[in-house]
Amino acid sequence: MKKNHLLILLFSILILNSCSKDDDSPIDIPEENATYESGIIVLNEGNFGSPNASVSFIGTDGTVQPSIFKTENELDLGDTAQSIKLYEDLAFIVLNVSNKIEIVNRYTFKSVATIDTNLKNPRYAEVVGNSVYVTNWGDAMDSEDDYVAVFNLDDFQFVKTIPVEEGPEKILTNGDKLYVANQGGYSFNHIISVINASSNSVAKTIEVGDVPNSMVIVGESLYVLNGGKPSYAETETASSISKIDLSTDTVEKTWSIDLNAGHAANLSENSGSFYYSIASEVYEWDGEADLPVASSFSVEEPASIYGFDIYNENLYISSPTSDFTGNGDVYQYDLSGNLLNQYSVGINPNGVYLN
Amino acid sequence: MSKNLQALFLFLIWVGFGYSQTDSIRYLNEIHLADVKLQNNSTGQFVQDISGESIERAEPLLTGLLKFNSPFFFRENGYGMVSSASVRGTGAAQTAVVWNGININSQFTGQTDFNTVNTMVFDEVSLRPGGGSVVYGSGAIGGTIHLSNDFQFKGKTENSLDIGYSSFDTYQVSYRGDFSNEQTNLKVGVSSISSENDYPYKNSRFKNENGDFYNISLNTTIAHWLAEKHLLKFYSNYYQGSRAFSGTVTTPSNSEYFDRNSRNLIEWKYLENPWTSSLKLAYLIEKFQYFENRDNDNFTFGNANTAIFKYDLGYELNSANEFHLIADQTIIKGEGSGINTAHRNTTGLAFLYNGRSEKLKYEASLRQEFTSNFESPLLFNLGVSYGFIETYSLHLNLSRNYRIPTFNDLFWTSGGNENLNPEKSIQAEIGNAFKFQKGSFRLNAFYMDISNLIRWTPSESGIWQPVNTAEVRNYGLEIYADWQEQVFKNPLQFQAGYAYTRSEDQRSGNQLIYTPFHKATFTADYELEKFQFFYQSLYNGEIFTSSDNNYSLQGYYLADIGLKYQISAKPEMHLQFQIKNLFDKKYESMPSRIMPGRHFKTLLTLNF
Repeated sequence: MKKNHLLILLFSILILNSCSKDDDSPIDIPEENATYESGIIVLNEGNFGSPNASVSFIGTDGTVQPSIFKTENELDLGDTAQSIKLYEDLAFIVLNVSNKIEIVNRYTFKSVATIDTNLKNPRYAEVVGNSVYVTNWGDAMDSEDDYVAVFNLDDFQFVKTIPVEEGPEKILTNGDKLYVANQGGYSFNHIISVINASSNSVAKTIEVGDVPNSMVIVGESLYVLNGGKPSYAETETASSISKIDLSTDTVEKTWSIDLNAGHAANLSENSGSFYYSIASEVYEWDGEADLPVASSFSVEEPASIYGFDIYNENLYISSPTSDFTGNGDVYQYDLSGNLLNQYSVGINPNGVYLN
Repeated sequence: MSKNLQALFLFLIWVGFGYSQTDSIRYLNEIHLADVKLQNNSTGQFVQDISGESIERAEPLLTGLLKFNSPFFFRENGYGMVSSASVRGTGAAQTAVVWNGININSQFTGQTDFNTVNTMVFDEVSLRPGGGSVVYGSGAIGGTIHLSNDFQFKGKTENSLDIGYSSFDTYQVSYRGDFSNEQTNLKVGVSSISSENDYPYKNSRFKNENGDFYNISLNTTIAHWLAEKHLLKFYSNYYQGSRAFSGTVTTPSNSEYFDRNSRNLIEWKYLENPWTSSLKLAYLIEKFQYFENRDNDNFTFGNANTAIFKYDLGYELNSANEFHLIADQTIIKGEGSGINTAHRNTTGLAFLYNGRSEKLKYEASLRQEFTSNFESPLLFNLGVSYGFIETYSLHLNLSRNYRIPTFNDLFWTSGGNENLNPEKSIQAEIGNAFKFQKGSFRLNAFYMDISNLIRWTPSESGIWQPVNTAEVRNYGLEIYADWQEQVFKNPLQFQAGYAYTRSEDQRSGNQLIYTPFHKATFTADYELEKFQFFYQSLYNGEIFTSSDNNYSLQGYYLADIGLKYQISAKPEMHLQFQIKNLFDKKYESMPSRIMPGRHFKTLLTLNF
C-alpha cells in the first residue's frame, strides 16, 4: 500500500517536473494556426445560471476536443449558449443568459470581439451586408419589448433596434431581406417579420401557423415549420408547414400535419429533400407532395433531440443527458437512420456547425 | 374505516375501565410543548435541540443557524437567497419543516426555503434526522426540523430586545415578551432583518448585485386554562419577506420575490387522567409573487390555503403503556400562474403506541391516508431503545415515509402530471448513544431506499414533465458529540457533528448531485467572567453538479469567531461582536452562487 503511494507521488513529481520544463521552453505556435479548419463545431449550452457553456470540436479523425473557446482564450465562454452564426471567417456565438455575443475566428477560435450591449435574451444571429442582426426576447415576461438588434459588422458597434412581434427566434436572410420567426418566447406566436435590411425596419408581417420553430430557404421559397401549440396550451393546435413566396412575401401553400401525430420541429433541407422530426421519428418530404404519414426512420439512441442538423447527407443529433446536467452526446446518422458515430461532448449540446 | 375507528374507540374505553391511573410526567409535556410527539415519539431516533443562546448568536435566518449546528448540508443561492437542506443525502423536498407540530412545507414546491424562516421568534429549534411521516406527513424522509414555542405558568414577565448591525448594511431587530400568571401565558415575538447584501465576490471585480432583502416575522402564542382540566393554546405566526434574487457570477438579475405566510393554530386540550384529548384546528396561508423584472409590473404568483382538523385521543394504560388514536382531515386549495386550480383533500388515520420499562423503550405507529389525488402508502414507524448500562444505550428505528407530489408536479399547465404517485422510502437506523458525566457521543448508521422518486425530465415531445422515475439508495454515518470541561473554574464546551453520506442513483451508481460525502461541524465555547468566547466552524465536502459526476464544486472549511461581553447584570445587557468567515474563504454551495467573504456582525441584547 505505502509503496504504491510512494510510487504515485514519485510519478506525479516527475510529471509535474516535465510539465514545468515544457513551460520553460514554449514551442512557438503561429498566431493564425487554423487548428479547427476542418471538422464539426458543437455548441454546448451549459446549465442555465452557470458560466459553463462550451464549444467542442470533432476533428475529421473523430477525436473530440472539449472547451476549445476556453483553450484558445483562457476565458469561460459564458452562460447558456443559444446558437452560432458562421459568416466568412467569423463565428458569432450567442450567449442567451450572459446577454452577449462572443465573436471568434471560426478556424482558430481566437477571440475577435465581444458584443455585450443592447442585448437582452439574445437568441439567433444573421449577417446581411455590413450588419449583424440578432433576435432578442427582451424581458421574457414582457410581450411588448421584443426586438432585433443591429450591429455594424466592421467594428461591432450598436446601430439600432428594430421592434418585432413577441418571441423572435430563428432569423434567415434572402437578398437584402431578413425573415424572423416569432415563435412566441414564453407564450405562443404565429408571425414572420420581414425586415428590410437597407432601411432596417419591418417591411411586412406574415401570418403563419402557431409557433414557427424552424425555417429553410430553397430557391425563391421560404419554408416555415410551425410546431403548433402544445398540449398544455388552452387549445392545442396541429403542426403545419407554410411555403412563402419570397418575391411577394405571401403564403403560397400550407400543409397540415395530423394533430395526433404529435408536434413537428427541426425543418432542414439536404440535396432537395426536406427533413423534420416528431419526437424521435424523422420524416422525409419532397417539398411539394402531401406530407408523409409514415416516418422514414427513428432515432432511438439519443436521450432527447435537442439539436438536429443535416450536413452532407449526415444527420447530427445533439442530445443532453436525460436530466440535463452532465456531458451530452452527438449522434451521427446517415439519412437512412443508421447510426454512424457517437461523440461525447460538453454539457447540454444543442447544435452542430460545419467547418 | 369508520367501523375500525369505532372498534378502536370501544377497545380503548373498555381497557380504560380496567385500570386505575397515576399522574405522569407526560402531562407536563402536554401542557408546555406544542410538539409533544417530538418528545414522546422519537424512540430509536436522535433529537438535537438548539437552544436560545445558539439561536441568538446565529443569523436570524434558519439556514445560518442550522448549517453550523447540524451535519445537514445546505444549498444556498447566496446569502439570504433561496436555500434548501439535504438531510441524509436527500433532496430539497425530502425534509419536513414543522412549526409547532404542523408541517409547513410549501404546497407548490414541497420544500421550505430555509432563508424564509426568521428564527428569533421561536423558543427552540430541534432537528431529528430520519423518517417521520407517520406524525409529520409528507417530506419527512431525510429528517424533520422543528420550530417550537413552549409555555410556562410561573407568573413571570420577561422581555428581551436584540438590535444588531452587520456588514453590507444589514440591520436586525427583535423583541420577545413573555407574560404569565398561573392561568395564562402570553408570548409575543417580532423579528426583522434587512440587508443591502451587496457583498463583493472575492477575487473578482463583481459584487452581489440585486441581493437586497428584508423580512419580518410576528409571533403570538397564548395558553390559557379555561377550567381545571381544559387548556386552550393558540399559536400564530406571520411572515413577510421580500428578496431581490441575486444573479450568478455571470448572470445579472433584476428579479424580486415576495413571500407571505400566515399560520394559525388553535388547540383545545382536555386532560383527564388517563385520557388526553386534543382537538387542533389550523389554517395556513402561503403566498408568493415573483417579478422577473422588479422594475415592471409583470409577475407570477401562487396562493395556497390549507385547513387542518386534527383530533388526537391519548390513553395511558399504565405508566408503561400509552396509546394514541389520531384522525385528521386536511383541505388544501391552491391557485397560481401556470396552475389553474389545485386542491387536495386528505383524510388520515393514525395509531401510536408507546411502551417502556426500566431499561427498554419501544413504540409502534401506523398511518394510512386517503387522498383525492393519488394512493398513499401505509406508513409505519417502529422504534426501540435499550439502555444496557448507564453510559450506553442502543437505538433502533425502522420506518416507511413518503413525499406526495406537489401542486407544481401535479397541476403545472405545461407538464403537470396528475398520474404521479408519492415517493416512498424505507429507512432503518441504528444509534449508539454514550452518556458520560461531561458529555455525550452518538453514532448513527442509517440505510434508506427511496423509490418512485419524482423528477422533471423532458418527455419525448420535449416538454418537461415530472415522472416517478429514479430509485435512490442512501446510507451513511452520523456522529453527534458534546463535551464540557472546567478550565480555570470556567466552563469550556465543545460540540461536534459529522456525517458521511452516500446518496446513490441505483441505476448508474453515481452520487446524487448537490449532496456531499462529508459534512462536519465543530463549535467551542468558553466563558470567563463577563466574557464569552466562541468559535464555530463547518466543513462542506465536494459536491457533484452533474449526474454523470463529471463536474463538481470544491469542498470548503468555514469558521466564525465571536466575543460576547456583559455590559451590565441588571438589567442584563450584552454586546456581541463576531467575525464571520474568519479565513475569508471564497466559497459557494451552489454553482456560481458566491457567498460572502470575511465580514462582521454586532448584536446588543437587553433582557429586562
